[in-house]
Amino acid sequence: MTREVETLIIGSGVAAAAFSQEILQHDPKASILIVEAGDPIPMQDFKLWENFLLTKKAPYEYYEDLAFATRDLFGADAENSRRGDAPVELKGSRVMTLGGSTHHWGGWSFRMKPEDFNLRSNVMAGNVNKAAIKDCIDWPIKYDDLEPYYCLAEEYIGVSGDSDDRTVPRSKNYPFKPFPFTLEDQPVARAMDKLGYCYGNLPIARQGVNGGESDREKPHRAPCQTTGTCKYCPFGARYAAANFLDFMSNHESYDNFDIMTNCIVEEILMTAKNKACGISYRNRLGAETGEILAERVIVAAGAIESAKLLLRSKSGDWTYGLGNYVADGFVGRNFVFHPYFMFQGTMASNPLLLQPEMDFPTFCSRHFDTEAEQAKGKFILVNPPGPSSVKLADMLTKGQTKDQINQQLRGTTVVQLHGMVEFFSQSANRVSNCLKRNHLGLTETQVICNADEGVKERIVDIEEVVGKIFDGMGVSNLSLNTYSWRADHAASVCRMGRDESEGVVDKDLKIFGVDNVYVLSNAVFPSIGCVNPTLTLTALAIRLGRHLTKPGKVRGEEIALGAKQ
Amino acid sequence: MDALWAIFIQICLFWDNLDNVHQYRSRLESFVINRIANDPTYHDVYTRSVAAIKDLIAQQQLPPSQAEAAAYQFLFTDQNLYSPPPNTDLKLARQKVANELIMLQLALGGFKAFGATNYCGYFGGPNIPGEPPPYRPMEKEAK
Repeated sequence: MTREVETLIIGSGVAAAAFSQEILQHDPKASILIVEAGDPIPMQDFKLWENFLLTKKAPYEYYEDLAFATRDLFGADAENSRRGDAPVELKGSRVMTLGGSTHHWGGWSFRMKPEDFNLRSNVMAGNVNKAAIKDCIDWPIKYDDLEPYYCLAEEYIGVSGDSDDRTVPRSKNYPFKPFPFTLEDQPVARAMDKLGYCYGNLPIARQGVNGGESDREKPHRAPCQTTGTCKYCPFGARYAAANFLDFMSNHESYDNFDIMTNCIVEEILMTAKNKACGISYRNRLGAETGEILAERVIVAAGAIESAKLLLRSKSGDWTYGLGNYVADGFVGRNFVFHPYFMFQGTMASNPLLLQPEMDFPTFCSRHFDTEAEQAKGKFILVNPPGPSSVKLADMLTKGQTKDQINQQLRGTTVVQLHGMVEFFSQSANRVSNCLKRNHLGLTETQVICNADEGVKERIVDIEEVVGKIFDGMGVSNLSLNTYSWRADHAASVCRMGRDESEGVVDKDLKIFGVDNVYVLSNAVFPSIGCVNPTLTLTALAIRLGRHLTKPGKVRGEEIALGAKQ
Repeated sequence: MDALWAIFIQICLFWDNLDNVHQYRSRLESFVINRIANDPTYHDVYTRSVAAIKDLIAQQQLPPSQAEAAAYQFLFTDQNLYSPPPNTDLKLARQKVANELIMLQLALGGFKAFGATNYCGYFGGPNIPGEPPPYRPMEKEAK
């Protein structure tokens, strides 16, 4: 079977959704096909939501990786391969189905900071930790280049945030007001006040009720009802690409927009070294194979799968995989993600009866997300919802009486403080294809990753900071509950560079030396700072959409293409 | 459905944490229908559990006026019934029926008796600028 389209997008997460919407807003007749390896998940399905409420099992879990094999876990229960001393985990880090990882993301929508775009220059200008960033590069674009697109991205995914918070420069207000701090935030906020640590409202992609001024606000999104079951929102209030793709497919007049599911892309096909002509694929559920011819290919399959696809796309002109000029080139290398820490302590009593009232945080601190911290690895702090010891459902179902529960609520309580730390890229850390297929029919992933001593030691610095905060809260028994190496926010494996000696794609995300293949995923980030990458990726998607359409007005908004580049 | 509603009522009585219980009957009914639609084996689960609870009440050597409350107290609190797997009908009644109805009851508002304004699974309402948030906010003087 062979099809022909103008623009073929591989993957269906936020990048694909935002990019295709940008193209279609400009030209509703544009020919776009999104191909996706997984299936659609029923969205806003009340019976699935009730099941999630009871079991905490989300309906998309089948589309996550299985765990790596261990001595006790092997065969059909395990997949992928891991080497190196960093205990990287893929399971739970991504969702490989229609809508991608926006199914399970928390909606945290941070902008990166201006200094993040100059990591190498800033660190090399100082005298600390230069060796750790030997493989790092600066972004070929700067914060100011991306700032207008950050504004558009915040509108597109519907971010609620504090527009008066000037931690990061901004030219427009958030589309929705912030969710106020919760009572649970009070102890940590007061402790930080005493220490002089800054904090703010966590910007989050949950639809508020005071929007409506933007063309991009989608009328089908209901406002957040603070239901706290955000991993499967019954209202579609938290941004999920699947909801938007469904709306674009079924309710907009986009005659030439289509989505093909259960389509596993085997490789990108080339007609010349500088020109792709489409892809070859096979159906995940059957034996059908085919080709799709395209004038332009957008690889938006998430960081890991995007790199793996380029590595599989070998031809006479691209012996080492598309985008790799030399053996062991940049494709698949410089793998980074965000190690996530959870510190824990105990409060002797809980007179405010603090307990989880929602399942998303409202409080974060970027006090250590500054240029001064850059050389050692920036980190953010987040106050998670709910002291982990207060779980009413567990208490009742175990048979505790009302009096027992009230007594326990007022007693010793566990508190936690979470966060993410920046992990510098190293050329030797990489992802690639295995020969075996995983349970979804995709090639399994090999991860090779070693942690440099800096990131290991950084946790000691962070523990010291958290210790001061806990002291101010009257919290004792500080311990590092978890230091997770799950590959959340995987990035940099097809990084953007000034030329092919630095990276895989140029500042417009086009593969060096190829006229019509673009990579649109976290894979292109040269570095990721210490914040979630989704908003930045969305901004890049909108920017690429504008780049590939004619310059000028789009629905009354003026952004000159590449004006500051 | 009446028998499942009776379990729900007993949960509210035992923990005394939800007022005006009768307004939730339609929600319970849709919940049960959805559980069966989501997993058809739940029809059998509910049937066997209701029978097991009926037997449990009958086994209570107490006056009829007290037998029901005593049986439900045992169902809700016995530690053996809580331990998986649910390999008896009564354990099934605890683990697959009573405990799920407890979680539903908490999400419908039962949590409020323990001091909070919002809860995961409760439809707390939107965050409307100028109005109090639908959860307990930080007190003003903190920052």
